Amino acid sequence: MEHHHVEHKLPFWRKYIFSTDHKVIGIQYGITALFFLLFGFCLMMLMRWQLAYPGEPLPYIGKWFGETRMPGGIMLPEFYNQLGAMHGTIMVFLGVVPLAVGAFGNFVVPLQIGAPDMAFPKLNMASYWVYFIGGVIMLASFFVPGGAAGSGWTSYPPLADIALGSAALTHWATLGEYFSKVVLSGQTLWIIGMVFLITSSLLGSVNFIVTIFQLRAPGLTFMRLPFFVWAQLVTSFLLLLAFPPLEGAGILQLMDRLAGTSFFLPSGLVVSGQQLAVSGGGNALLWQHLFWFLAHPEVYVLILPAMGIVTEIIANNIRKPIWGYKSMVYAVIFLGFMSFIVWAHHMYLTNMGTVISAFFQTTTMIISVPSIVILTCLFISLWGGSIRFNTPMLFALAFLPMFGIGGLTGLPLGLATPDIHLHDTYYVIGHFHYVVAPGTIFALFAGIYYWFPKVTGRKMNEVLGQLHFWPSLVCMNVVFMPMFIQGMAGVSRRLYDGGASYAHAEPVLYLNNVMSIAAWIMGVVQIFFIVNIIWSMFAGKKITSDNPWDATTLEWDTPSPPGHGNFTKPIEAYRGPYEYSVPGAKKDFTPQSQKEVI
Amino acid sequence: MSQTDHVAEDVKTCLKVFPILAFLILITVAVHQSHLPYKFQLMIEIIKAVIAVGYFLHLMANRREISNTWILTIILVLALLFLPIANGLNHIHGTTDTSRQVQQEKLSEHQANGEEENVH
Amino acid sequence: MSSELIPYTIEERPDTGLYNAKFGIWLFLASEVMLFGSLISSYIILRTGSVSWPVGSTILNVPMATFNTMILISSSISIVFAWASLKENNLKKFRMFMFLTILAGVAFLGIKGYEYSIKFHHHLFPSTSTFLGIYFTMTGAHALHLIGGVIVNTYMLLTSGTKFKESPQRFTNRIEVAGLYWHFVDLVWIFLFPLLYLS
Repeated sequence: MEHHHVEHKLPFWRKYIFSTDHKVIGIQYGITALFFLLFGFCLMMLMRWQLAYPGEPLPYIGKWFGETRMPGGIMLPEFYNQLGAMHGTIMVFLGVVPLAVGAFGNFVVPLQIGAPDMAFPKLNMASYWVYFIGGVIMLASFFVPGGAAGSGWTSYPPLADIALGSAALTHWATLGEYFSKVVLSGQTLWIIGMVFLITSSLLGSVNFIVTIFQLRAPGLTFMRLPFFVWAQLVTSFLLLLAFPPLEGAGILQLMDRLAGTSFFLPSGLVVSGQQLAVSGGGNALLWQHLFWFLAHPEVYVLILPAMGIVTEIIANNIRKPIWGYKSMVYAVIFLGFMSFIVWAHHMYLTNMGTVISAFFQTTTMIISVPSIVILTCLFISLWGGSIRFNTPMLFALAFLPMFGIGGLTGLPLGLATPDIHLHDTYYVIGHFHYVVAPGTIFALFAGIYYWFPKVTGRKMNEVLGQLHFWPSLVCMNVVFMPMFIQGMAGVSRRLYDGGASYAHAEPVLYLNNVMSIAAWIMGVVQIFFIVNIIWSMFAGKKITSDNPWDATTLEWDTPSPPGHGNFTKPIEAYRGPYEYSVPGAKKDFTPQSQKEVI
Repeated sequence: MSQTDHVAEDVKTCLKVFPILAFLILITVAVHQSHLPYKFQLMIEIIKAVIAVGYFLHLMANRREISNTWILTIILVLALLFLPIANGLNHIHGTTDTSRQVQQEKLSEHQANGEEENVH
Repeated sequence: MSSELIPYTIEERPDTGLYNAKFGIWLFLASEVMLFGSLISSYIILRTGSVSWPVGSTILNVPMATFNTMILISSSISIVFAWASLKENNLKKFRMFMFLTILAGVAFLGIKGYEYSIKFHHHLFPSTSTFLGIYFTMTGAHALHLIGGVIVNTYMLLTSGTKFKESPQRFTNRIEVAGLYWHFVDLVWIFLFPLLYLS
């Protein structure tokens, strides 16, 4: 029919704001997520002042935060807790996952499978806007009386249940008061925001799975899929099946806070010297089980897209196929499955008992195997390759040892006995930041540099890219390596003075200053990236070919940027995803869509 | 044609399954009200579950992807239900009891038995 | 819009044997199984960890809920008839059966609302006990899902004229998908009812 004409006449707000085109939605996710990453980073830089100079006023900037948060520029412990809880929440749920899955997934997956769009474009648009609303709620929570949630990104009861604004502890006379005191409290808004974010993820995951199964181009069998698509597929299954229990837990905690139930509050709880007027009989561990049932698969959601991106970039820049593609595929499927049965390794110190701890310890040890397989295949791939050291490749290469350190440091945490010493110390913080920060975020940077030409038709500046990469790599290590030392010395996490009030922390306290300075330098270095991305969007060097990296996967068969419908002619896949340096071929790469080897 | 047959087939199945479920529910209520031992109720629940799951599997028959997703889901639900069992399989006695009353009873029990505490 | 470009919205893809929306709704239902599964898991943990737990029928109204269950089961049957009517190209019959389905859903919600109001009248709130807390939460979550289903079905009914004329097969598929969701909501209740009321 003549609908094609209608598309070109879409008004501005339907073309760019409420668009159903996966590329526009991907960019929307990308911009929003990058903003939240920056915001979460700023929260951390603020926290690091308090850790380096506990109790000292923050010059100039301190007074912006007002008397309720930083009286005289000195951070209150309550505010520190809010910064910590929201830093985690925002980075994980508003920053990394939307960027890795919402932005990269949405933009690249349909292109890499030869599809005109996602299977459900309107649902895709809905996913983005629900995420946006969730983000607004999370940001708004900073400005309600009492401030944002301060019970950690893990929101453990009883604290999260009874934090300011809980129905059981708040007096209200009118419905208006109930709304302003109970509903509009930071901890409650956190749960409501999470409900929106979970919904967004669920809608998105359905879209991804159906798209990948149903909209693959002819000839694109599963074993010919780029590893990035496999990674997104497994990630979507994790999101689909692991998020609902957290939604359930969120509903229960919301009932506790809004309706005065006590699902997570045991009987006889005394708060501020008074017995809590609730029915009791609840179980605080129930929250932990439900939370970690999601949150463990969530960490694989954080890493899998990154592994996918790194694989694409490495394949492209070694000019030879990835070694062990099949093993990587089986490994990532096995990893996804196992990720559902390891969750209680976050709970070894909750007195669950030795039988359960032994079970989870075993599954946790088993799950380290597929990650090692994937990393090993990537390392082996480098051997004998013609390596090009452009900016995306630098970030992708750095990912490998950084994720390696992160993964290895997870082993003593996964074993129940050493975990007794290391649980809830800075060692844990060092471990997970290594996997997410110089791990995933480096991979995401790599992806931005790599796919920028596809999105904009221009290349990012290489000099600025190098200025971004090298100092960031150094700073990441200076920030996070000392955390292992502090953790092993026994410094607990979430202490607002960084351990200053504990005698056993004294020998390692100086590291706080080192880490803070490195963090602030790292913040300054990101300016190179921000300037690069904005400047290159408008004045970056225009690419002369649609395939500037000489890559093989299908997304490079479209114009840069692709138009509506993506492919200008019918697309079919004839070969695997990484056919570089095919013997007998003239060029050192043979695109997937190319029928004959020429 | 086969399409209309297929529709008629689906309607017939639906007309079999749901009235049976309705009937079983009435039986369950009757069993409950007559205070028969709980195991009868449980048996009926199991029959209902089998019928319900069977009906859903019938709805998705021959669709490998859906079946696989649902088998995976069932495994995960079982894992999820593992939580309550995990809570109960506690090696250290008495720590699943969160109610104060029970704790107090245990405390007075210990005190009545004298200082018999060992470090286990 | 771009929906014309997307394959397998109406016809089935040969190797999977599915059209997109059907696959999508099954995935969504799998996630819903996990959601209600987590609530049931919570129920089990809370109940086994409690000192005492009332028998549901001593607090809740079994006859009213049994009647409600019958209403919901009938609505599952009527929505299948609605779908079958579309397959026979009978829009009028579809409208009648869909209307009955929606009516049944609204009736269920009405009776549930009445049940709730009786409880509140007797000062039985979610905060009164863990049993009541989990009862209100689980039936409340179910009711929210039912409301969603009613809204979708109403939308389908109201747009049936134009949408069925535009693309009969696509609209029929949508009703099939809506019917699957409706079945699921019904089946959740069929298990929730004995769990909460009869045990």
